[in-house]
Amino acid sequence: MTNDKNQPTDLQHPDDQWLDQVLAKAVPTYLDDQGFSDQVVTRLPKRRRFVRPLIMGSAVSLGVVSAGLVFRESTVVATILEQGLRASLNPSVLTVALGLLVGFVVFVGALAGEA
Amino acid sequence: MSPALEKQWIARVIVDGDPDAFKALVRLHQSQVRQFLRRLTQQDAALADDLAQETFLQVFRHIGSYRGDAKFSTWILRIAYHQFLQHRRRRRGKEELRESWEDQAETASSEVAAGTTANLQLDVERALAGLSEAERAAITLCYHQDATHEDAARILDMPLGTLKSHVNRAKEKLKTQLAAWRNDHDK
Repeated sequence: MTNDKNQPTDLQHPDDQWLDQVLAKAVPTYLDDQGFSDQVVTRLPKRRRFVRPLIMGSAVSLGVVSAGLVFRESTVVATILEQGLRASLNPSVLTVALGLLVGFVVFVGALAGEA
Repeated sequence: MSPALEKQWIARVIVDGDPDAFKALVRLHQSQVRQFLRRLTQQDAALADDLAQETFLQVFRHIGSYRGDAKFSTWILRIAYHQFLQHRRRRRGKEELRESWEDQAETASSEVAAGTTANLQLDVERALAGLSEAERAAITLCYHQDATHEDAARILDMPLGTLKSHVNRAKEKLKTQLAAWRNDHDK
């Protein structure tokens, strides 16, 4: 029978009530899944796993830069940064430092992506 | 199944694309969607299941746009109906389809009127097949999918007044086509 919100059955014409009963009996039976959901899931598009690590890596980099800007007035942090910059003027140290930073960002990004 | 659990599954699919959660949603709604499409495709089970699969793939792709302002089942059935309409446009021109409906309506009317079928349920199915697509969809949603008129109008993307007109017109046609059974019932 049609949804109660649709039809006030008490006020219906007898023909309508009879038709409601007939249609209610014609309600199709529940269809078993029988592998239907499995078929759908196999057709789902593959997730692009590099997108999230990229986003998370960018977010972490942004966070590192922001933190540097926020704490640049701090004497201790400024000293550390100054020392670090002086040390990094040496090209070999700079390369290693940059390599470590990039590696760390990618690692954190990948971890966040898998989480 | 609680609505809260369904919401959890939806959230997991939106956030993580979780295939297990999506499978649970498919299991929950597959029967309703497949039945609806079977009615629309004149009980062509294979075609209905193909369209149902496409429907769920669309659901997965666009689930992020589900805002929760309608029931999830209403949202899925709306996509299913659009899939059916797309299929119809691909396969046939409108005129050809209308002729097909008219043929079916004529066949259904003559078979029911002539009493060539002994079973009321078969006659109901034939009478439903004789309705126009919009009428059949409206009756199916309101009587067999437990949809309110408002939900049905939303699924079929038509004004509420138009939906009610389709339902009333369909009921009049069904009453006419099933009049013989009604008379038997009165005796």
